[in-house]
Amino acid sequence: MSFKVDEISSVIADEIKEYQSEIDVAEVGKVLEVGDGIAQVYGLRNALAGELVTFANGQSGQVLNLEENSVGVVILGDYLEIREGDEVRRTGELLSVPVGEALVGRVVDPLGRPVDGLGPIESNDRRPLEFKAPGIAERQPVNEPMMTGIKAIDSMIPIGRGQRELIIGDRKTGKTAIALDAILNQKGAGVICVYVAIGQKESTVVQVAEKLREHGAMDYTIVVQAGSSAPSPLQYIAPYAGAAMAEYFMYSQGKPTLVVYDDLSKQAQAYRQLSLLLRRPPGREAYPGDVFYLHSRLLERAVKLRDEYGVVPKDTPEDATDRSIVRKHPDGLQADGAHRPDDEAGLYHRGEGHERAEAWLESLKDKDKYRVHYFPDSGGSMTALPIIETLEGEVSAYIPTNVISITDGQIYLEPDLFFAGVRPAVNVGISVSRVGGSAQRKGMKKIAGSLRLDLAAFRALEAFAQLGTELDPATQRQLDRGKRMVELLKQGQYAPFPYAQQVISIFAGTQGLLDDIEPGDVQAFEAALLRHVEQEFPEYISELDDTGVLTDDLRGQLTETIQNFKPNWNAA
Amino acid sequence: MASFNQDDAAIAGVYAQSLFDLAQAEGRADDVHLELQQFAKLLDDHADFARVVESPLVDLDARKALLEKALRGNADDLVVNTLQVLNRKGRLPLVRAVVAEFSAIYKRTHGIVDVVVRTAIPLSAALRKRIEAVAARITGGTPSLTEEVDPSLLGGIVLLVGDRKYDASLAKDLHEVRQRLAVRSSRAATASITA
Repeated sequence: MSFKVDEISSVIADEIKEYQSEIDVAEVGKVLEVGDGIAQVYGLRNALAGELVTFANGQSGQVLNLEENSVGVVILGDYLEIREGDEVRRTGELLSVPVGEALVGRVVDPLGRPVDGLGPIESNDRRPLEFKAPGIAERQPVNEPMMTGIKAIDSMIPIGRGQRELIIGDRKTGKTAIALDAILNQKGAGVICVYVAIGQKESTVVQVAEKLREHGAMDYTIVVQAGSSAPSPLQYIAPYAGAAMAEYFMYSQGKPTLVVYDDLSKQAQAYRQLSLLLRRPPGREAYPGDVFYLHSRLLERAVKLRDEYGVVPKDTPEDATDRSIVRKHPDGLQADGAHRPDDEAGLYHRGEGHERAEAWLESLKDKDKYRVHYFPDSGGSMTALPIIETLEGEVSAYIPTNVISITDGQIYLEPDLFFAGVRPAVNVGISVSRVGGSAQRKGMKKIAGSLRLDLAAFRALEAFAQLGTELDPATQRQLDRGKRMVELLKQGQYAPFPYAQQVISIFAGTQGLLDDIEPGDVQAFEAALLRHVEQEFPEYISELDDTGVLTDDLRGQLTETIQNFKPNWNAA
Repeated sequence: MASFNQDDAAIAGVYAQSLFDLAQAEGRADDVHLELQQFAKLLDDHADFARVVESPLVDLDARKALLEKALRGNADDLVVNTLQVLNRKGRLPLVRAVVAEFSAIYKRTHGIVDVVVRTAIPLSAALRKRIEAVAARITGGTPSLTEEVDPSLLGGIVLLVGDRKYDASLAKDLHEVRQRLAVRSSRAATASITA
């Protein structure tokens, strides 16, 4: 590389020539004291809560406390370079992060700065970190499945798009593994995933990002990283940054998104630290009073947005998003029920919106010139999988109870199960999904209905059986079935099962078709069976995948196939 | 500038307001303000005197006698009486805060605004006049100029009015040019990577 001095000096000369000196007017304050990521700043009389301020050395901060003569600022970065008496200026802006396609596949810090060494991120769009969750009018009920690829979850604790499902458990029980499998399973589903790592070891995050890359999941994933060495303010804002990045895809492209917050207990601890340093009064477990709101406002941002339809001129392109082209119903909201639009703009977005739009179109005299248009930027969703780490299985601690009450269900992982080799170590008895059932596909719903009860009965009987008493044949049968179901629900990491394969496996188990297989052989049999079906009867798989329904015909065919396969497998 | 300690400022504010109301009623606010400033300066200049006045270890009666002897007749009675009240209540350690609060109240009522002028070289008399006129226009009140010389500004002028900072210094201009060059070079670097 050679330096051309002339060129450099001419660039500088140009810059100076073009430079227009303007008086720089700013509101400034002075740092009174600084330490542990917090600065008390004198002045800034007009500063707003949550406003972004900049320090003399370029570091930014967020105003959190407004006091009579000073403001409390959290420093988003290295606070060791900030000195007493340094100037602090208002920016008049709220915290925001860059968003957009450029972030996909990248590892960034909570301010959207790349930390993966792949060069700067060029993005013109920004979104505020704190964004008010949409109200009920903009939502629709959760109705689409968000498959995790994990049999135990998709069958018994189904998650829908737009749902908030908590993953809770002690350390080292496979919480992150479930979230990662859920991300891997979104391959090809058009879902944008955001993995937010809060307060984790940097080595763990590297490993996670590497695994995602290995399995091709970085093509649709953003990793937001605030490691355990990051200042607590960054750990505190990390989940909001992740949510903002997902919101871009949800609001402006109508895409489904999946956000994993790993984990919110660490975020609560970071927030506790800075709240105490800001001298906010401590409450239970020394958390500040607004620690519930900290998580509720974050998780409320998970949403399934409504689908919007409108009657538009026929030549409108499919990707049109301009709502002003919609033909308005002359009677507006007073129109007859079958045709009535749902707002002043003439849009149809509540239940049966599409049907009502079609009905109105049919009744028009010049209906040939129009068509019903689905707005492609509507109907997006954000599914949230927050993770909470418990201590010694204590789910009644402050933060776990808070987040359990905010979310739409929880997946509870147990160390006992984990060490007994049941992985994923989901405790089916106390794990629930409060809204996912309506999003579950029909075929799965039908066969999985009895599964949860069978397993619960099995757990109760298992305890009895350990006493070594004589058991009647019915009980023995139930025990045998249970053992096989437990084996069947075991699943390796990074091996998500597609829908059809899950249905076939669980069908075989719940119908008792595996009762004559030794429990130790169940997993091997399952693998062989699925391979057999994939090769010999691909039409079963495509039918299940396409329709989602397990018809009586298909049930019969499947039963026959499995029965016929058994002798072959035993021979092999 | 008011005291940074919120509690001190709150206590001092009560004494300052009472004193100001009395002085205003008797039309002696200007004198009292001036004398309080001089008293504060006295404390700044004579550390020994300040120690006697502000230390909680000194016997109250002894201090009462001392203040009486040193100040009665030399200063306005209102000032001396205020100091005596502060002494009796054990609030003399806050005397500087009281002076600061009094000054703040006095300035607020008289529309006087503190303005800090920062330049690279000392101001000339003509320039000072012009700056005062500009400051008066900005603040809409009577500016009270404090001049600071800061060679690192290189040229130009910085005005500080309350929380607001008007920066027209050469140092700021150079800093901005530098930022622009940095942005330009990082863009060029990105372009060369992506190309």
